[in-house]
Amino acid sequence: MPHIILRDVSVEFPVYDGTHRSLRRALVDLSVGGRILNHGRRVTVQALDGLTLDIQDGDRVGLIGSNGAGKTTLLKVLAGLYQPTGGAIDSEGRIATLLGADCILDPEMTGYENIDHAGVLLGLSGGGGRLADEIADFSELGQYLHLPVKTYSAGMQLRLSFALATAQESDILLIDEVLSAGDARFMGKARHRLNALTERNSIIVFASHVDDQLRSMCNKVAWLQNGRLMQFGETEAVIAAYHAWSPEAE
Amino acid sequence: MGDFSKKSRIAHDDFLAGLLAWRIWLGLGMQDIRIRYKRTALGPLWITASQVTTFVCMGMLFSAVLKNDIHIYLPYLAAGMTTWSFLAGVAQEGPQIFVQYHRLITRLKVPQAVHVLRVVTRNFLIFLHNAAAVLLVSWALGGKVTASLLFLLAGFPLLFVTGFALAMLLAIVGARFRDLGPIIFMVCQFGFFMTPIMWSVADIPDGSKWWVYVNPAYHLLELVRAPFLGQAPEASTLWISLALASALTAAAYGLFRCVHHRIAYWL
Repeated sequence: MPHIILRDVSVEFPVYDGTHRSLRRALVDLSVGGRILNHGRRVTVQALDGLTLDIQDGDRVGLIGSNGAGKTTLLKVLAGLYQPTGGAIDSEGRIATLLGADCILDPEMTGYENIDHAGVLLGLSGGGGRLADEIADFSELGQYLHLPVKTYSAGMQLRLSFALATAQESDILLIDEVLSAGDARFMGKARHRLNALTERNSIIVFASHVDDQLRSMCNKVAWLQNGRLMQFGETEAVIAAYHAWSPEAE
Repeated sequence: MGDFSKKSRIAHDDFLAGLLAWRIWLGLGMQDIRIRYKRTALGPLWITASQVTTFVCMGMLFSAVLKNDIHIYLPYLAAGMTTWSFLAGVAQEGPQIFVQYHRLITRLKVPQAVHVLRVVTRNFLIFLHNAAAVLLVSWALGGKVTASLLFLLAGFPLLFVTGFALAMLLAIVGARFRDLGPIIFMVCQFGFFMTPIMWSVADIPDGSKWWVYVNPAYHLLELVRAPFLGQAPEASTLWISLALASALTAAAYGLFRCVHHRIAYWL
């Protein structure tokens, strides 16, 4: 059964400056014992702090929290892209990610070229015509697919990358805030598609600032603040608690 | 299970998954070339055209300067330069690989070795185009096609594996230390003159020959160049190339296993 379980997970990002990035410098330090030329303590940023979270089959989890709360980092940890610097993660199931429209899409290539490229990269089946037809149909981009992606609006890029990300055969789908760029019509289609995905016994985790999206798409919400999990539970209750708390923090 | 052994297990699985995902890296490597040259009249043949122009010009110039027979010197130079271009190309692109694909690495669940293999595949496909041109040129100059070409069946895979291991090592170190690129660039420029490409081992005094034989690039080059010129490579060259490919692969695997869990944080 697909699941993701986090136990006391922490993530610390190292922050390197120029001297820490230099191989020549590192070799010199090594040859003089490394202690004499001390370039200062290593600076780290604590992005997640002791997170324990249990996500089970059928869960549609929304992530809320102010900017910098750690939502994106958490999604990347859930995806296995960052391995926790502390604590443990146990996950089962094939994972698909939609963490920013700019990652799969190459702005210089046309829509169709991007579909081919993503098809290979994501190992999508039905290569060639069928995949392209399917994506073209869902994204409703029509003739724009012949143009370079750099000419697309943010919403159009979202349509294409969302169509590609959800074409993957996966058990767990992780989506970052990107959905906010879609218009009402597209959001309706996206919701249908996500519902169809959950019916195949998937887990969906997605970050959003739009309460209505969370209400209509999630059965649970996790609220993050400064890398800590404030609350995890029923959607309405957590959203209410989040709004009640936010103003006080100012 | 300890924390480190779990991380090292994940690294091992990721490494193998990368190798096995040949559909992805082969497909991406081919696509890279197709897309880059799609809007040009000659397509990927541009790569070969520029390589052929270089070695024909240099071959004519240096066979005149060094008073060599162009029928022998040009195929020798062409085969050497083509193989060197692959090695140097992979080495120079190596430190940039994880940096170049950082968006994919931090946003998409794809085994990390795939990105390295994609770059090596791209360079190897260019190498194969050029190798065909070398054969054509040497055939045009009266060279014969002999059975020793069969040694390429061992030479090409060894060259690819060595290229992959080298690129993986450099990609890892290059992700952490950003000044590796310029250092490698320097080493390659220096290596081009120190390795028998424009000159041959026979040109230098016996007493100086040892520093050619200890140069691993010489053996890799010979492995491919000798069959092109209708000769069998020396047995020692075969063994040294095999040992080099194994050692580099083991080193790349070992380093990857140790630091795989840090690579995303370095980008």
